[in-house]
Amino acid sequence: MKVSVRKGLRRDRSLYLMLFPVIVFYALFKYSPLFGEIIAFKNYRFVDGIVGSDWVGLNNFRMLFGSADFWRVLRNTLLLNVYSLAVGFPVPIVLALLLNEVRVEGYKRLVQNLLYVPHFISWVVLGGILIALLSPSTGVVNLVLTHVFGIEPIYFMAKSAWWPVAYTASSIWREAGWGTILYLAAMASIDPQLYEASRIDGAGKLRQIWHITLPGIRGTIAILLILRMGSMMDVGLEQTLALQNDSVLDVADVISTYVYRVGLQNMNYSYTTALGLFQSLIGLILVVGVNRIIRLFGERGLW
Amino acid sequence: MQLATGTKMGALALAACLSVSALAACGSNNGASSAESSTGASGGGQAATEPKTEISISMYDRGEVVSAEGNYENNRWTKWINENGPAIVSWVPVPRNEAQTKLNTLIASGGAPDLIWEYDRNYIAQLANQGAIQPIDEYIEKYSTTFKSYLAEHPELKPYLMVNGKMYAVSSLRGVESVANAGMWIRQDWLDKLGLQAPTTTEEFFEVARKFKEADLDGNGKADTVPIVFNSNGPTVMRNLFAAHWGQWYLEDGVLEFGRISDRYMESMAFQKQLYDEGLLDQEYITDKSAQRATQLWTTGKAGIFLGSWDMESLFKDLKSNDPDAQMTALEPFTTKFGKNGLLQSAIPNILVSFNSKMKEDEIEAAVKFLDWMLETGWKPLRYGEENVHYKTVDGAPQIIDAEKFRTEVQYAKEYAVINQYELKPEWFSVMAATDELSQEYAKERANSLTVAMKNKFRRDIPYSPDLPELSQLIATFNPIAEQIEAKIVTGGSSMTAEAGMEEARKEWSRLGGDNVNKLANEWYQQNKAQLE
Repeated sequence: MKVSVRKGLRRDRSLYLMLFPVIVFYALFKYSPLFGEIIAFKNYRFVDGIVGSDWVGLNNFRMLFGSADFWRVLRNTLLLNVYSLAVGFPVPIVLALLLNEVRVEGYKRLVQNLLYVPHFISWVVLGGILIALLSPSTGVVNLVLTHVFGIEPIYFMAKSAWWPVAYTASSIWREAGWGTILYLAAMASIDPQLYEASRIDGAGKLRQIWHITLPGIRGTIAILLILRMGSMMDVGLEQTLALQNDSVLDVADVISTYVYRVGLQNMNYSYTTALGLFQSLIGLILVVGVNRIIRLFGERGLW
Repeated sequence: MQLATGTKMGALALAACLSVSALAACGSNNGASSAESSTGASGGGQAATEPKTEISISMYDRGEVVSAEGNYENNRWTKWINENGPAIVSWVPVPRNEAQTKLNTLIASGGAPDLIWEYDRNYIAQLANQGAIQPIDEYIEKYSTTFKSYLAEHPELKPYLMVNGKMYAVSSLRGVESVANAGMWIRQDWLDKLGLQAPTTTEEFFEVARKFKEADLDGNGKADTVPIVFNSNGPTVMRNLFAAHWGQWYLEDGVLEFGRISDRYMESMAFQKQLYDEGLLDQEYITDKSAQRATQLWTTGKAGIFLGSWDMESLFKDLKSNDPDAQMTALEPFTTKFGKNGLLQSAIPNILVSFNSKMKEDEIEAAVKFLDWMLETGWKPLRYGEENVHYKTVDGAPQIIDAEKFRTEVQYAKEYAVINQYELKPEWFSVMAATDELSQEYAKERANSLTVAMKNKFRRDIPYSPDLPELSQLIATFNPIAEQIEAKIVTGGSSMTAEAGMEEARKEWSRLGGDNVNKLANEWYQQNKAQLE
C-alpha cells in the first residue's frame, strides 16, 4: 500500500506539482484566515492583537442573542431572502425555457444580450435609475398607474410594504438574465433525439418542456438551489445601501448593513465576528440540510 | 468548502484579513523599524549633513493627483517636503470615504503609519482607548517650539487634543472658511418679483414659501414649484435653526442632555412636518439621498430656497447658465421659538494628528520637529503653490495665475499640510476668483455668504461629545431607529405628530440603555469639566 502511494506520487509528480499552488492558495487565503474567527470569543482590541486579546467565552453571542436589533435584522434578512427565493429563483428557469424555444438565432442572441446588460451595471447606478423610475411625481411607473389605471401615485421606495417588492424586483431585473446562462447550457446538453422521438409520438411544445427539458435540467436546478440556500443569510450590502432610506429601515436594515455599521464603523469587531460566525453556521446547516433533502429525492447533490 | 466561505461577509471578511496579516506578518514597509535603516542617501541625492529620520504619515486619497504629477506617495510636493523639511516622510494614502475603516485595518495588521490623522475627534479618542496611539505631553514639552507657543496662543484648541486628561494629538485652528459649514440660499429675484423681504421669523418663512409655491415663477403654467429643497445638510439646517443638533450634548442647568431627544429637537421636527404637510418641502426628499433631484429642481428654477452649505459654487453657476436673471443669495437664519441661532459651524480644530503607540522616542522627536516646521513655514507652498509660478500677491491676497495649472499642480498638495495657519478672508474672494463675470458675481455672493454664516453663533455647549464606548454603542443602534421615527413624523401625515414621535424616540432611547448613558455622560462631564473649558 505504502509503496503504491509513493509510486503513484512519483508517476504523477508533475500533476501534483501543478496542484500544489492551488493547495497553498487555499491554505493561505481560505483556511488560515479561519483562525481569526477566535476573536468571536474574545474581546478584541487593536493593541492586544488577535492572540493577546482577553477570552470572554460566549459573551459576544449572549449579547447578540439578547439584542432586539439582532432579531430585527435577522428577520429582515430572512424575509428578503425568502422573497427573492420564492419569486426570484424560478424566473431564470422560465426565461431560459422561453429563450430555448426561440428559433430565430439572431433574435435570441439579441434578447440574451439585452438580458445580460443590467448584470454589469453597478448597484449605485441601478439604484438611481430605480428611484427615478419609481418616483411618484416624475417616474414612468407611476405615470402609467395614474393615467392608464387611474390609481393614485404610490411612493414605492418609501413605503415599508412596497420596499421589499421593489427590492426583489430590482434583484430580478439585474440578475435573472445572467442566471439563465447555466440553465441554457444544461438545456443544450439534452439529447435532441428525445425531442424527435416525442414529436413522432405527437407531443406538443408544452409536453416537450414538461417531459424532456425540465427533467433534463433538474440536476442543475438542484445544484443551484443548494448554492442559493448557502446565501440565505446574506443580503448584498451594496444593493441594500443603494436602495434603502430612512423611512423603510424597519424592513431594510439587514445583517450586512448592521455589521457594517456596528462592526466596521464602531470597531466592535468581536461582536460582529460572532454575528458572522453565526451567519456562516446557519448557512452551512441550510446547505447540508437541503443537500440531504435533494438526495432523498434521488437527485445528485453537491456531495 | 468554497460554500462555507462563500456564506461569509462583512465582519468575517475583516476577521479574515486580520488573521492573514497576523500570520503572513504583512510585508509593510512603514513599520517602526524604519528609523534604524534611514540614511541621508534617500533624501533625493543631496548629501545631508545629518541623516534625516524617516517617518510615515497617513493621508486622505481624494483622487486629485493627475498621472503627470505622479501619485500621492511620490510627486513634486513630497520631494519638496523631503528636501526642505527636517524629516523624510513616506505618505500612506487611505481612500477618503472609507478612511477610518482602512486605518483600522492598517492598525490591526501592525502596518499603520507613525502619524495617524482624522478630522473626527471621536475616532482619535477611540484609538486612544484602544491603545493604538500614545500620549505626547512630555514630548511636546521637550521637543516642540513652534507648536508649543502656538498652543499657548490658542488655548481654545487644547480641550480637543485631550483624551482622559492627556494630550493625544496636535492640531491647528481651522480657517474661518472651513469653520463655516451649513448655509441657506434664497432666490432674491423671486423675493423682489413678489415684493417680499427675506424672512426673519418662522411665520415669515412659511409666508414666503407659500407665496413661492402659488406664484408659478417659472411661468410654465403648471403647479410644479417646490419652494424648499435641500441636500443631506437640510435636516441639520432645520434642526440648527432651533438650536438642536442630532449628535450633540447640550447643557441645561448644568446637566447634559442629548440633542436628538431634546424639546428643541421636537419643535424642529414639528416645523419640518408642517413644511412637508403644506407641500412646501420636496415631497420625495426621503429617496433623494444624493440630492440629485434637489439640484435639478434648483438649477432648473423650480425651487426658491436651498438648504445646504454656505459655499455652493456649481449650484450657483448651473442656475445662472439656465437662467441668467436668477439671483441666488445667502439667507440668514431666522428667529424661531428659541431665538436666532447660527447654523452648523465645524469645531475649531483642523485635523487631529496622533502618534502611533509603536513610535520610539527618536521617531517622535523627528515627528514633532517635522510638525513644528510644517506649522511654521512648510504649509505655505502646499496651500498657495510657488509664488509667481502658481500665484501672485494682489492686495495682500494670493491670486492664482493659471487656474488649470493650479488645479493640477497645487490643489492636491493641501493634504500634506497636516497642521497649518491657512485662512481665507472674505475680502480676498474677488481677487482670488477667475476674472469672468460669473465667477466674479459668485465671489461677491460667496463673501456675503461666509459673513452670514459666521454672523450668528452655532450653539455648542461643550467642545465635543463624551467619548464613552457605551455612548457610541448606543448611538450606533439608536440613530437608525431615530432616523426612521423622524421620517415617519415628517412624511406620515396625521399618523404621527412630532410629540408622539419624540415620545417614541425617547422610549427607544431608554430601552437601549439611554438612561444609564445619560448618567455616564454626566459623570464624564463632571470629571472632565476642567479639560472642557
